[in-house]
Amino acid sequence: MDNNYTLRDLRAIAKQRKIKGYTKYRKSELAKLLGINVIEGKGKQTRGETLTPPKILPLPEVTRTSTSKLKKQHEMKQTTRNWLDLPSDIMANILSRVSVIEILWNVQIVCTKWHKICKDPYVWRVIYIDNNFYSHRRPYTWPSCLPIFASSWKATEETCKQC
Amino acid sequence: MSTSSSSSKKIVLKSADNETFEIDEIVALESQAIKNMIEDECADNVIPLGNIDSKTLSKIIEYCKKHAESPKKDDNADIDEKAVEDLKSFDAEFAKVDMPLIQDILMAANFLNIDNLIGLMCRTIADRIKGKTPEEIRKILNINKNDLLSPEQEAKAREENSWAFD
Repeated sequence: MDNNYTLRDLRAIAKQRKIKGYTKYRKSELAKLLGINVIEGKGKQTRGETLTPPKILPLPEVTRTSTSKLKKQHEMKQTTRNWLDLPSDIMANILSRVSVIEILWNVQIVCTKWHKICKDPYVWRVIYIDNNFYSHRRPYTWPSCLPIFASSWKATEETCKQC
Repeated sequence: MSTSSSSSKKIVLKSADNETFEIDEIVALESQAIKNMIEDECADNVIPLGNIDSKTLSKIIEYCKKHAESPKKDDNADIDEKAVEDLKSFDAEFAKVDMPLIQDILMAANFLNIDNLIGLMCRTIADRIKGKTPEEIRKILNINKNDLLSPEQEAKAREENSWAFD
Protein backbone atom coordinates (compact mmCIF):
# COMPACT_ATOMS: atom_id res chain seq x y z
CA MET A 1 0.00 0.00 0.00
CA ASP A 2 2.98 2.25 -0.65
CA ASN A 3 1.10 4.67 -2.79
CA ASN A 4 -2.09 4.87 -0.91
CA TYR A 5 -1.74 8.54 -0.14
CA THR A 6 -4.44 10.55 1.45
CA LEU A 7 -5.18 14.08 0.35
CA ARG A 8 -3.57 15.24 3.57
CA ASP A 9 -0.35 13.41 2.70
CA LEU A 10 -0.28 14.92 -0.77
CA ARG A 11 -0.84 18.38 0.63
CA ALA A 12 2.05 17.87 3.04
CA ILE A 13 4.31 16.90 0.14
CA ALA A 14 3.11 19.85 -1.91
CA LYS A 15 3.85 22.16 0.99
CA GLN A 16 7.32 20.68 1.29
CA ARG A 17 7.94 21.24 -2.41
CA LYS A 18 6.69 24.80 -2.04
CA ILE A 19 3.98 24.48 -4.62
CA LYS A 20 1.72 27.50 -4.49
CA GLY A 21 -2.00 27.18 -3.94
CA TYR A 22 -1.86 23.43 -3.41
CA THR A 23 -5.00 23.53 -1.26
CA LYS A 24 -7.06 24.38 -4.30
CA TYR A 25 -6.34 21.11 -6.07
CA ARG A 26 -8.37 17.96 -5.83
CA LYS A 27 -6.63 14.79 -4.76
CA SER A 28 -6.15 13.34 -8.25
CA GLU A 29 -4.97 16.67 -9.68
CA LEU A 30 -2.51 17.18 -6.87
CA ALA A 31 -1.18 13.64 -7.27
CA LYS A 32 -0.67 14.22 -10.99
CA LEU A 33 1.09 17.50 -10.29
CA LEU A 34 3.42 15.81 -7.84
CA GLY A 35 4.03 12.87 -10.15
CA ILE A 36 2.66 10.39 -7.65
CA ASN A 37 0.43 7.46 -8.53
CA VAL A 38 -2.45 7.17 -6.17
CA ILE A 39 -5.25 4.69 -6.09
CA GLU A 40 -8.62 6.26 -6.19
CA GLY A 41 -11.23 4.90 -3.84
CA LYS A 42 -10.93 1.86 -1.62
CA GLY A 43 -10.04 -1.69 -2.56
CA LYS A 44 -9.64 -0.95 -6.25
CA GLN A 45 -6.15 -2.33 -6.51
CA THR A 46 -5.76 -5.14 -8.94
CA ARG A 47 -3.83 -8.12 -7.79
CA GLY A 48 -0.38 -8.69 -9.17
CA GLU A 49 0.18 -5.02 -9.95
CA THR A 50 3.56 -3.97 -8.75
CA LEU A 51 3.44 -1.03 -6.51
CA THR A 52 6.13 1.42 -7.42
CA PRO A 53 7.33 3.84 -4.81
CA PRO A 54 6.29 7.42 -5.53
CA LYS A 55 8.63 9.25 -7.81
CA ILE A 56 10.17 12.24 -6.19
CA LEU A 57 10.41 14.89 -8.83
CA PRO A 58 13.06 17.56 -8.62
CA LEU A 59 11.86 20.81 -7.13
CA PRO A 60 10.02 22.75 -9.79
CA GLU A 61 11.60 26.09 -10.60
CA VAL A 62 8.47 28.03 -9.93
CA THR A 63 9.27 29.08 -6.40
CA ARG A 64 10.11 32.67 -5.78
CA THR A 65 13.52 31.99 -4.32
CA SER A 66 14.75 30.04 -7.32
CA THR A 67 13.70 32.62 -9.89
CA SER A 68 15.34 35.44 -8.00
CA LYS A 69 18.45 33.33 -7.71
CA LEU A 70 18.48 32.69 -11.45
CA LYS A 71 18.02 36.38 -12.10
CA LYS A 72 20.91 37.14 -9.79
CA GLN A 73 23.11 34.63 -11.58
CA HIS A 74 22.20 36.20 -14.88
CA GLU A 75 23.07 39.65 -13.59
CA MET A 76 26.37 38.33 -12.28
CA LYS A 77 27.11 36.95 -15.69
CA GLN A 78 26.40 40.35 -17.18
CA THR A 79 28.69 42.28 -14.87
CA THR A 80 31.55 39.90 -14.21
CA ARG A 81 33.41 38.57 -17.17
CA ASN A 82 35.28 35.38 -17.05
CA TRP A 83 38.76 35.80 -18.40
CA LEU A 84 39.08 32.07 -18.55
CA ASP A 85 36.62 32.08 -21.45
CA LEU A 86 39.30 33.58 -23.68
CA PRO A 87 40.61 31.14 -26.26
CA SER A 88 43.79 29.42 -25.13
CA ASP A 89 45.83 30.81 -28.01
CA ILE A 90 44.93 34.36 -26.98
CA MET A 91 45.81 33.60 -23.39
CA ALA A 92 49.12 32.12 -24.53
CA ASN A 93 49.66 35.23 -26.66
CA ILE A 94 49.28 37.40 -23.57
CA LEU A 95 51.51 35.22 -21.45
CA SER A 96 54.19 35.07 -24.11
CA ARG A 97 54.61 38.79 -23.53
CA VAL A 98 55.24 38.33 -19.84
CA SER A 99 58.76 37.58 -18.72
CA VAL A 100 59.76 34.03 -17.97
CA ILE A 101 60.45 34.64 -14.31
CA GLU A 102 57.01 36.10 -13.81
CA ILE A 103 55.36 33.12 -15.44
CA LEU A 104 57.26 30.69 -13.27
CA TRP A 105 56.86 32.61 -10.09
CA ASN A 106 53.48 34.33 -10.29
CA VAL A 107 51.39 33.72 -13.32
CA GLN A 108 51.17 29.96 -13.33
CA ILE A 109 49.74 29.79 -9.83
CA VAL A 110 46.98 32.33 -10.52
CA CYS A 111 44.47 29.62 -11.34
CA THR A 112 44.15 26.09 -12.68
CA LYS A 113 43.62 27.06 -16.31
CA TRP A 114 46.61 29.34 -16.37
CA HIS A 115 48.65 26.59 -14.80
CA LYS A 116 47.77 24.44 -17.81
CA ILE A 117 48.35 27.23 -20.32
CA CYS A 118 51.76 27.93 -18.84
CA LYS A 119 52.75 24.44 -19.95
CA ASP A 120 51.82 25.39 -23.53
CA PRO A 121 54.86 25.39 -25.80
CA TYR A 122 53.62 28.63 -27.40
CA VAL A 123 54.25 30.48 -24.17
CA TRP A 124 57.79 29.20 -24.21
CA ARG A 125 58.52 29.91 -27.83
CA VAL A 126 60.09 33.26 -27.13
CA ILE A 127 62.25 33.67 -24.08
CA TYR A 128 62.18 37.19 -22.88
CA ILE A 129 64.85 37.91 -20.33
CA ASP A 130 64.48 41.33 -18.89
CA ASN A 131 67.93 42.71 -18.22
CA ASN A 132 66.56 45.25 -15.85
CA PHE A 133 64.72 43.02 -13.54
CA TYR A 134 67.05 43.65 -10.68
CA SER A 135 66.16 47.30 -10.85
CA HIS A 136 62.47 46.87 -10.15
CA ARG A 137 62.83 44.01 -7.75
CA ARG A 138 59.91 43.40 -5.45
CA PRO A 139 60.26 41.37 -2.29
CA TYR A 140 57.57 38.86 -3.25
CA THR A 141 58.12 38.79 -6.98
CA TRP A 142 61.85 38.44 -7.05
CA PRO A 143 63.88 36.41 -4.62
CA SER A 144 66.68 38.64 -3.41
CA CYS A 145 69.72 37.33 -5.26
CA LEU A 146 68.37 35.93 -8.49
CA PRO A 147 71.15 34.73 -10.74
CA ILE A 148 70.09 35.77 -14.21
CA PHE A 149 72.34 33.35 -16.05
CA ALA A 150 71.14 30.28 -14.26
CA SER A 151 67.51 31.16 -14.80
CA SER A 152 67.87 32.03 -18.47
CA TRP A 153 69.82 28.87 -19.10
CA LYS A 154 67.20 26.73 -17.39
CA ALA A 155 64.42 28.53 -19.24
CA THR A 156 66.13 27.69 -22.50
CA GLU A 157 66.26 24.09 -21.43
CA GLU A 158 62.56 24.16 -20.63
CA THR A 159 61.86 25.57 -24.09
CA CYS A 160 63.79 22.86 -25.80
CA LYS A 161 61.97 20.26 -23.78
CA GLN A 162 58.59 21.65 -24.78
CA CYS A 163 59.27 21.89 -28.50
CA MET B 1 28.85 58.27 -39.66
CA SER B 2 30.36 60.84 -41.95
CA THR B 3 32.97 59.81 -44.43
CA SER B 4 35.21 61.95 -46.62
CA SER B 5 35.03 60.02 -49.86
CA SER B 6 31.55 59.10 -50.95
CA SER B 7 32.67 57.30 -54.08
CA SER B 8 34.38 54.37 -52.35
CA LYS B 9 32.53 51.19 -51.64
CA LYS B 10 30.73 50.96 -48.33
CA ILE B 11 30.43 48.02 -46.00
CA VAL B 12 27.60 47.85 -43.49
CA LEU B 13 28.12 46.08 -40.18
CA LYS B 14 25.35 45.28 -37.74
CA SER B 15 26.07 44.86 -34.03
CA ALA B 16 24.40 42.44 -31.62
CA ASP B 17 22.09 45.22 -30.41
CA ASN B 18 20.96 45.93 -33.98
CA GLU B 19 22.89 49.11 -34.55
CA THR B 20 24.28 49.48 -38.06
CA PHE B 21 27.64 50.96 -38.92
CA GLU B 22 28.51 52.05 -42.45
CA ILE B 23 32.22 52.09 -43.07
CA ASP B 24 34.51 52.47 -46.07
CA GLU B 25 35.72 49.26 -47.59
CA ILE B 26 39.31 50.26 -46.92
CA VAL B 27 38.55 50.45 -43.19
CA ALA B 28 36.80 47.08 -43.22
CA LEU B 29 39.81 45.51 -44.93
CA GLU B 30 41.74 45.85 -41.66
CA SER B 31 39.78 42.81 -40.55
CA GLN B 32 41.05 39.67 -42.21
CA ALA B 33 37.68 37.99 -41.69
CA ILE B 34 35.76 40.77 -43.48
CA LYS B 35 38.47 40.96 -46.14
CA ASN B 36 37.87 37.30 -46.90
CA MET B 37 34.14 37.95 -47.08
CA ILE B 38 34.66 40.82 -49.51
CA GLU B 39 36.92 38.67 -51.66
CA ASP B 40 34.32 35.94 -51.66
CA GLU B 41 31.74 38.56 -52.64
CA CYS B 42 29.49 37.92 -49.71
CA ALA B 43 29.77 41.35 -48.13
CA ASP B 44 27.24 43.10 -50.37
CA ASN B 45 24.52 43.02 -47.77
CA VAL B 46 24.65 43.95 -44.12
CA ILE B 47 27.20 41.84 -42.22
CA PRO B 48 25.62 40.75 -38.94
CA LEU B 49 28.02 40.52 -36.01
CA GLY B 50 25.84 38.79 -33.46
CA ASN B 51 28.50 38.52 -30.79
CA ILE B 52 29.77 42.11 -30.78
CA ASP B 53 27.83 44.92 -29.11
CA SER B 54 27.72 48.44 -30.50
CA LYS B 55 30.04 49.90 -27.85
CA THR B 56 32.77 47.41 -28.70
CA LEU B 57 32.15 47.64 -32.43
CA SER B 58 32.42 51.44 -32.48
CA LYS B 59 35.75 51.17 -30.61
CA ILE B 60 36.99 48.65 -33.15
CA ILE B 61 35.90 50.80 -36.07
CA GLU B 62 37.68 53.77 -34.48
CA TYR B 63 40.85 51.66 -34.37
CA CYS B 64 40.50 50.33 -37.92
CA LYS B 65 39.83 53.82 -39.30
CA LYS B 66 42.96 55.23 -37.75
CA HIS B 67 45.07 52.33 -38.91
CA ALA B 68 43.60 52.34 -42.41
CA GLU B 69 44.38 56.04 -42.75
CA SER B 70 47.96 55.67 -41.58
CA PRO B 71 50.60 54.75 -44.12
CA LYS B 72 51.57 51.10 -43.96
CA LYS B 73 55.10 50.21 -42.97
CA ASP B 74 55.80 48.30 -46.16
CA ASP B 75 54.35 50.95 -48.49
CA ASN B 76 57.59 52.83 -48.98
CA ALA B 77 60.80 53.48 -47.15
CA ASP B 78 60.30 57.17 -46.53
CA ILE B 79 57.27 57.05 -44.30
CA ASP B 80 56.62 59.98 -42.16
CA GLU B 81 58.10 59.35 -38.74
CA LYS B 82 55.58 61.68 -37.29
CA ALA B 83 52.78 59.45 -38.56
CA VAL B 84 54.35 56.44 -36.86
CA GLU B 85 54.61 58.33 -33.60
CA ASP B 86 51.07 59.54 -34.03
CA LEU B 87 49.84 55.98 -34.47
CA LYS B 88 51.79 54.84 -31.43
CA SER B 89 50.26 57.49 -29.23
CA PHE B 90 46.83 56.68 -30.66
CA ASP B 91 47.32 53.02 -29.70
CA ALA B 92 48.46 53.98 -26.20
CA GLU B 93 45.43 56.20 -25.78
CA PHE B 94 43.13 53.57 -27.27
CA ALA B 95 44.25 50.98 -24.74
CA LYS B 96 43.33 53.17 -21.78
CA VAL B 97 40.01 51.46 -21.12
CA ASP B 98 38.73 49.23 -18.37
CA MET B 99 39.40 45.51 -18.32
CA PRO B 100 35.90 44.30 -19.30
CA LEU B 101 36.01 46.43 -22.45
CA ILE B 102 39.52 45.22 -23.21
CA GLN B 103 38.23 41.68 -23.01
CA ASP B 104 35.29 42.48 -25.28
CA ILE B 105 37.56 44.17 -27.81
CA LEU B 106 39.99 41.27 -27.65
CA MET B 107 37.27 38.68 -28.23
CA ALA B 108 35.84 40.71 -31.11
CA ALA B 109 39.26 41.35 -32.65
CA ASN B 110 39.92 37.65 -32.45
CA PHE B 111 36.62 36.96 -34.18
CA LEU B 112 37.21 39.58 -36.87
CA ASN B 113 40.85 38.55 -37.14
CA ILE B 114 42.48 41.96 -36.74
CA ASP B 115 46.07 41.02 -35.96
CA ASN B 116 47.33 44.44 -34.88
CA LEU B 117 44.46 44.92 -32.48
CA ILE B 118 44.85 41.46 -30.95
CA GLY B 119 48.52 42.27 -30.41
CA LEU B 120 47.74 45.63 -28.86
CA MET B 121 45.18 44.20 -26.45
CA CYS B 122 47.38 41.27 -25.44
CA ARG B 123 50.26 43.67 -24.84
CA THR B 124 48.04 45.87 -22.72
CA ILE B 125 46.89 42.99 -20.55
CA ALA B 126 50.45 41.66 -20.22
CA ASP B 127 51.61 45.13 -19.12
CA ARG B 128 48.90 45.27 -16.52
CA ILE B 129 49.78 41.95 -14.92
CA LYS B 130 53.54 42.46 -15.03
CA GLY B 131 55.17 42.67 -11.64
CA LYS B 132 51.97 41.76 -9.83
CA THR B 133 51.51 39.06 -7.22
CA PRO B 134 49.15 36.16 -8.01
CA GLU B 135 46.58 37.72 -5.68
CA GLU B 136 46.77 41.06 -7.51
CA ILE B 137 46.48 39.32 -10.87
CA ARG B 138 43.36 37.48 -9.71
CA LYS B 139 41.86 40.78 -8.65
CA ILE B 140 42.70 42.54 -11.92
CA LEU B 141 41.28 39.74 -14.03
CA ASN B 142 38.41 38.96 -11.66
CA ILE B 143 39.24 35.29 -11.52
CA ASN B 144 36.77 32.98 -9.85
CA LYS B 145 37.84 31.65 -6.47
CA ASN B 146 36.73 28.16 -7.57
CA ASP B 147 39.43 28.03 -10.20
CA LEU B 148 42.31 28.41 -7.80
CA LEU B 149 45.00 25.79 -7.40
CA SER B 150 44.94 23.84 -4.17
CA PRO B 151 47.70 24.72 -1.67
CA GLU B 152 49.36 21.38 -2.49
CA GLN B 153 49.34 22.08 -6.23
CA GLU B 154 50.66 25.57 -5.59
CA ALA B 155 53.50 24.23 -3.47
CA LYS B 156 54.28 21.62 -6.12
CA ALA B 157 54.36 24.23 -8.87
CA ARG B 158 56.71 26.37 -6.84
CA GLU B 159 58.92 23.43 -6.11
CA GLU B 160 58.99 22.31 -9.75
CA ASN B 161 60.21 25.73 -10.77
CA SER B 162 62.60 26.30 -7.95
CA TRP B 163 65.35 25.59 -10.49
CA ALA B 164 64.80 29.05 -11.88
CA PHE B 165 65.75 30.55 -8.57
CA ASP B 166 68.60 28.26 -7.51
